[in-house]
Amino acid sequence: MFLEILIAIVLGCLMGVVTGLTPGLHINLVALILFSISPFLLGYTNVIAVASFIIAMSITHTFADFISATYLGAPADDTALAVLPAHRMLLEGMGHEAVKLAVIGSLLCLILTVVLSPLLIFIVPIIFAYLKDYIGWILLAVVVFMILREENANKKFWAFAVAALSGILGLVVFNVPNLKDPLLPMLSGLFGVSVLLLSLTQKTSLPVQRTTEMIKVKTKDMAKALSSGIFSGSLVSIFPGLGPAQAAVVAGQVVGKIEVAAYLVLVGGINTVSMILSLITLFTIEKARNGSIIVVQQLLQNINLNILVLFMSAALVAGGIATFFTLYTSKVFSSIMNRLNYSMLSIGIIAFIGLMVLYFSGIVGFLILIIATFIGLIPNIVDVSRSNSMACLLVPIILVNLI
Amino acid sequence: MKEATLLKIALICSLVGLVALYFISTKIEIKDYKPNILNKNVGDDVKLNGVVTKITDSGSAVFIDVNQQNPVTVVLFTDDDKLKLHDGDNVEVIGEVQEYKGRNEIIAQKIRVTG
Repeated sequence: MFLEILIAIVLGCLMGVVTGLTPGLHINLVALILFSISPFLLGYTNVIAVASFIIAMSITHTFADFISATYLGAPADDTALAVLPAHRMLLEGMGHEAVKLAVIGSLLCLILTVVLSPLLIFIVPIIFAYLKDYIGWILLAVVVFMILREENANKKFWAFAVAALSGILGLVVFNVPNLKDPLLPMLSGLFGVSVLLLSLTQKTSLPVQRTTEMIKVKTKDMAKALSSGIFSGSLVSIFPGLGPAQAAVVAGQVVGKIEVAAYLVLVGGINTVSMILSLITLFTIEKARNGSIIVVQQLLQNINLNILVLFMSAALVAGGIATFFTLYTSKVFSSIMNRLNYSMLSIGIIAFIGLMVLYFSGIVGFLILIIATFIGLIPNIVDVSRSNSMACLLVPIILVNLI
Repeated sequence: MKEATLLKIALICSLVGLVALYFISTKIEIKDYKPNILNKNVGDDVKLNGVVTKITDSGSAVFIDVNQQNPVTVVLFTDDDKLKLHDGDNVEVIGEVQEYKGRNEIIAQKIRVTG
């Protein structure tokens, strides 16, 4: 049994790197494919090993997806807010540093969450019962706060405009019938293609990417980032419909001003924490909060304390392996970047995103990508925070909870 | 944080996870079922290997007699008309032991044909 699970974890980590590096390939899609072929897999191994594979893959994905966000400018829902600061670091020759910071957040938050899990097993049901009726109001307060914190009345107006346009886009996108993978065109346009287009118009050339230790995060900011990451990741695992992107917005407001490097640590930790805590919510309140855990629930029906401990152990092993894989892959990307013409690369990535959107979401998705790109250009032009574009995900949840 | 420090933390994390995984995986072994020990395993998840001797389909449930040291009745709740089991198949059954009318039977979660 131990050997089977260990092999499953290693294979899961390898698969997680593939899914993390591939823009548009969501972990939930892979988990669903695995579930559909699970009768075949169960002919060769046991259900615990298959579930361990899924968990290892999911954990590794949360580490590796910052590589595509940093080097390719292609965001997923959990990395959308990290794209701009990570991209800025790439343009300063510190792409690998950006990935390393996200990995620090993922690994340290993983360890802290596992250590705190005996406490969280008691706290999670209490928080869920207390806050579940107020989540709409909390998110509305976050959106209003993001607008009001801009410097002057003109910027507040434009922040409101960006939030309103993004919110309307989100409402439309989630209500388009038969649209597959709605997040891909919307987030790629708002946070990916728009950033790359701005780089092209500024005729940015990529400096030599260095992999030396350059950035030091203050201990106080690191502590803030890790604790906010755990708090926000907990919200994702507790509340249905609240994704890591929305949680990153909440965390950003809660933590206040921290340096960019610490912010990357925070965003890096959120999705990893959410994955671990989803196991705890499955154990305590028998609710699965993400696609991978839903598949685990379907495979196992229910999990007892021994199985929970086994999955936590598998997550620790996967986190360690994922750290090595991710840092190594980032160095490979870094050295590749040094040999490429950045403008051509940006054009190539924009074309690749366009093709991915056409393939997964069709012509309607491509139209959404274009509209989202135009909206995504506004924050940079009027100099307001790009976080206001997260209203595309927050507004639909607010309306669902309040109406 | 230096990258070397991060890698050391990752290594320690993996090792701790491996040790915990080893010990907990030995506790989760699904035990082999010995049906001649009556009423001792009720409620437990067990694994049973044997030969199918009789299959009775009652619509929503299929009753499978599996011959081991003693015959055991395995109950499979399914709407699937295309159950691919035949008399004489060697099977591995994983399920929960329950008592019905004074006799132990296994409510199957998974059945695998092994030969």
